[in-house]
Amino acid sequence: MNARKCEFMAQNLEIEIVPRITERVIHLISGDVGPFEASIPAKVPVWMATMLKRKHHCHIVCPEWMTVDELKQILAAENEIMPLTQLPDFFFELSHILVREAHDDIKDVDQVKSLIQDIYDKREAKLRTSTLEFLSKQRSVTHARMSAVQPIEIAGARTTLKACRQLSLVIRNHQQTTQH
Amino acid sequence: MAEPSTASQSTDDEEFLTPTEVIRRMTVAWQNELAAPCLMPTEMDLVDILLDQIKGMEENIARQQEKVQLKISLHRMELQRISYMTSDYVRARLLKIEANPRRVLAEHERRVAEGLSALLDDNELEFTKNFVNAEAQLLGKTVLEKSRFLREDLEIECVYVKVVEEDVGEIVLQDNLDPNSEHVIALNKDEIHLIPFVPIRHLVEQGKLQLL
Repeated sequence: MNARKCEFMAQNLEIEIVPRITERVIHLISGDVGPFEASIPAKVPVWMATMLKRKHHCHIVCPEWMTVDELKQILAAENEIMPLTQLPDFFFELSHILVREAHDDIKDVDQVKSLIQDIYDKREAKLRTSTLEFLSKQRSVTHARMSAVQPIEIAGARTTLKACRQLSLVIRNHQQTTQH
Repeated sequence: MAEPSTASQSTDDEEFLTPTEVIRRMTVAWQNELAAPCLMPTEMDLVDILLDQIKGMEENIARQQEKVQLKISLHRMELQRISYMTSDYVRARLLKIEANPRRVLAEHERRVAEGLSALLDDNELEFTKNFVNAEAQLLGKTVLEKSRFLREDLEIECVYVKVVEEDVGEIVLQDNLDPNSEHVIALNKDEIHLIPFVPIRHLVEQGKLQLL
């Protein structure tokens, strides 16, 4: 699982759009969408929302948490407690997609962007600390509970852990050879 | 566009699964396969169903060429997303199978014998068997011949040794260039030699020499 695949999965989420077109129900393999009526909000998968957006067929309604105030609260909570806070599903993936595809639908987009970046950095720092702790204890502990972690963070952490495991193998081999 | 849904419904009745449900399960299987350190039990049935769906939908699209562009492009995009997911799933599985085909095969047979869900479907099983055979042949042709070189490698391997005991005596080394001539080397205590490994191996094992 890499960042791009995380984003692919995030695109299966539903999001609200305000269409500019009128269209009857569309029967997709993954389910029906629509009907669309101009300026009546409708729910569609994110991939469809971004596609319609590119064709100027709709506005995207950003999730409630994607406002400066909400994000400030999340950042404050993230700073307050040591464990990771619980975020909405695919928080970073969705923000990334929306900032890229629909920046004119986001209010105060620059501020939103930098707040999300701050949240990401904060969480990354926490994860790095706990990864170090986990690795240093790895001989006794092989389990870590991290229920609030986001998919993209797992994708990042997995490569680190894998690299560490290989490194530890190399070191162990080296120790064994030097002992004999 | 009403026809696509009838196409999907006909598959429904055969499989007792809605296409939506198939896609949901496929997504789960794909995600698991990507994150698992080993091969997961096969879900190739889902891939087959989805391939049928894709084919049906493509035929529908082909028939509706002159209709509204937006719907067509929405359907196309969905098809592309689904086929990306299925191909990536198959790709991930093949990579894992190729990484360790023998273990996969053994694991598959164990699971079948124990009545658990199959690790491989028929096509994958055939692929794995072919792969194992091809690999065995390849290894037979290249590595097994090379293993003679490996033994030879040990022959030409040189080591640094320190003589740690008195009166180890002399050893006889063959001249590499002239098979008929020999060199006699005296091994005296505390001397250090760079020397071919094989002739002095027994001395090392007896503890008369110390490898450095």
